[in-house]
Amino acid sequence: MSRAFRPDDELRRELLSLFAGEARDEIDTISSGLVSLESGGDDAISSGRFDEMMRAAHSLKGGARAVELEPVDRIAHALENLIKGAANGGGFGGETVDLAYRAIDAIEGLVAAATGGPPTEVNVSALCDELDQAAGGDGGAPVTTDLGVPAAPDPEAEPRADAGDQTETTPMGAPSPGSGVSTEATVRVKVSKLDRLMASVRQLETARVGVEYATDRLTEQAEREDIETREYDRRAGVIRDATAGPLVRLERAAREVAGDVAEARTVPLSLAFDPLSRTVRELGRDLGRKAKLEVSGGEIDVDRSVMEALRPALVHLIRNAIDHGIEPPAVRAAAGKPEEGLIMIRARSVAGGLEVEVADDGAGLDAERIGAKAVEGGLVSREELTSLPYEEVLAFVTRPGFSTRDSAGEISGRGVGLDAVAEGLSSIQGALEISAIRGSGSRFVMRTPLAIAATEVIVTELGGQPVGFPLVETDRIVALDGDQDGAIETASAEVALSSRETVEALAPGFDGNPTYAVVVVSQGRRIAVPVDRLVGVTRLSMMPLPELLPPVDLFRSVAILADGRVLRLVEPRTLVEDLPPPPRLLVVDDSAAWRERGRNWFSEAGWTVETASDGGAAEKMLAGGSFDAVLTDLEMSEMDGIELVRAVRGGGAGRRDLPVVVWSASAGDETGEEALAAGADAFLAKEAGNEAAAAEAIRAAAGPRQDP
Amino acid sequence: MDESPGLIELTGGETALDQANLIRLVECPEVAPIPDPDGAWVGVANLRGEVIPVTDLGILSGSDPIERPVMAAIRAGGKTFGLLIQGIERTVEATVEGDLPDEPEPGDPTWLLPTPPGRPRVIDPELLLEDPRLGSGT
Repeated sequence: MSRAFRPDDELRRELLSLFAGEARDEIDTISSGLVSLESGGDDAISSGRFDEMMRAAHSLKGGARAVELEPVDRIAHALENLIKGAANGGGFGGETVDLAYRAIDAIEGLVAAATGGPPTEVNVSALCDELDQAAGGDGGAPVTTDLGVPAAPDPEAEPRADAGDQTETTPMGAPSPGSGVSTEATVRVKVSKLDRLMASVRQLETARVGVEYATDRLTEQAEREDIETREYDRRAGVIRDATAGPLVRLERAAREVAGDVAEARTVPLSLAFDPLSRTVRELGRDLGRKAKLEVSGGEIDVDRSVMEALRPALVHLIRNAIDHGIEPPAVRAAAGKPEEGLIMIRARSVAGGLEVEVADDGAGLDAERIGAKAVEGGLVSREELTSLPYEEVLAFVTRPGFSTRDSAGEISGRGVGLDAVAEGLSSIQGALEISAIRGSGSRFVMRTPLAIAATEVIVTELGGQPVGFPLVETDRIVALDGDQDGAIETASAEVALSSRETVEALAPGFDGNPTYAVVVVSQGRRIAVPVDRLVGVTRLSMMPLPELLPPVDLFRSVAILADGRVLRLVEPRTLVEDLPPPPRLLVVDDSAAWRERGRNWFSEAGWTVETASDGGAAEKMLAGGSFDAVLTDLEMSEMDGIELVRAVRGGGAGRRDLPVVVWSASAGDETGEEALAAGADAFLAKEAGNEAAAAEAIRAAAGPRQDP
Repeated sequence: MDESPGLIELTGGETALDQANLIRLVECPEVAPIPDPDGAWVGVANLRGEVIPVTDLGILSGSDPIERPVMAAIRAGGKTFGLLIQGIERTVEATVEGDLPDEPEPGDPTWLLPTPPGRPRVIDPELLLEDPRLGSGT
């Protein structure tokens, strides 16, 4: 017997909240299926995508019935028919995909409205008619459940678990109704409960190391005492022996629970990536742009909090890429580009973290215009602007409210809302880096932890206080001999020491007699931080700085050490700001692979690298920006390397004395002589591994000023 | 005005804290310094596994930082913070009387509630967090 809900029915509110979480999962499944069907064709059909989508639509329908959301029930039913029709040979054309997307949009809106979100207007009958028509049926025909879809939930059944504003599915395996694969039970758990559980685990771990520390101190003290304290020693030994076993078990249990909780909080990046194909498709259509999206790394699992920050950031960057980056087809064609633009999302795990790159081959960012707007907005003086590195000029677009738009309707420039992207990433200890060339595209790199919970930290003492350095951003540790004067010598290069002012900000009690320097690296730049004492390397549960504090650039997060003291983890990105701006190198090559290779290698070596795809583009960039050296390929379509050298030496591209090194895969004596005769400083064979020789040649041509 | 269950008179006798806001008193707290341009947040401390920000009553009162302080861990407006104080004198029964002046006297902290003459003025922690020198993080 069904039960009618009263509008104020508490049970219904709970069920609605529960259903909202389920609906989000089912909608994700259908969206992913649509993306896959659009790109996968027959393979997608055979892979069971239709089955998944039908099951998701069916579950939506059943869930909607349970909470008496009739409009959602009807749309989900019609959507299920549509998918079934497609699976039975009708196929999914572009219009059908659009229709399916409209259906899930309507469902999303209706579910949101029913759970306290903004009201939405949906013409349910009209939408269902369209869906039925596209499905080729009368719409009233029942969908058979030969897929083994579970029946709609009994409205009188107890909710499966606590329901709250934010719920998530915690998959214990891979439940797949009707697929023939055995399933495990799942429960829905509030994210806040997982957070509290993780906080409890953290306290458990802190307590464990605290007991361990106290025991060790007891033992150490006993060992230092003389004969009179033999009894003390004996007792300490008894305590140590008695606590050793339980402590090991406690550690194991805490680690296992922490691992399980962390795993329960993870989701694959594909959940954020998959819907973006639709964004590209629809926005491109609306704005008259042609663009395709290439994605890699969707299989990487990340913590839900990281996902929550990445999802809106990705949507924003993709929308910006279409709206402001990718040019209209005719403009692209006139510029010699393919009519269809390319947007790439590449995610990869890096040591201890995640790197998500969003790049496009569109119009790029206009540094001049950004700089002018920054001056206009009072963010920087005209004089200061001229001495700012290129990246810092671009970084103005992440300032709150910054925009290069002159009017609301204008499609030009970028920057709208990038402050929110940067802020969202910052909230999870992440960062946004921007590089772009006007006319050649933009590249945004988001760096985040995979999970916020644990970090490998080098623990040191500075000014009597514990200070931590992220292991993955530490290059090396150097013993100091007291003879350094603003810099230290490492095996490969000289590294500047942090300023006294910075060190005193890190630790006001610093006495100026450090014994070691920790060399940190950020954005390819290195800086050494003096420390009084090395304590060790440990894995720590990091916490954000307390909310009440104003933004603290020098520290990224904090943790509690075994002795109860608070460790502050330094932010290497802030530390390298002490350094003078790195030299800028322009890598010119018509091969995207070589451009990227050059960017990676020289960035790692401490240069700021920009790229151009031919001599003509390079000439314009050299005329418009201050570069310190050029590394160019020889054979290129528009203007080859020798012509570029001649343009530089002839004064047509900025400084005549600019160091220019030419390299080529088809290096021969004659071409080399020609390049040198044209004014190149050096000519090298372009082959993998020869970057160091190229860097050496640039250094030799430029003198010590160009050492990054 | 409000009937208070009890006030803790701070060393010096000029100010007091409402017991209802006080979570814990920590002798010789270990405060890890954090740079703050306004200088009012002096660092962070470990309060039973939670890292809390710490401010200094001496600085907030326009005097020097307190030497060898005691940290009063205070909960106000859903947030916990540490207030470095010189120490406590005694627990007193007291009431907060009168209204806050619309325009405080120049130099007079806006977070001290009025009390009868001769009694210590009571620190309102929520108003304290609104002090511009502490407010940038809220």
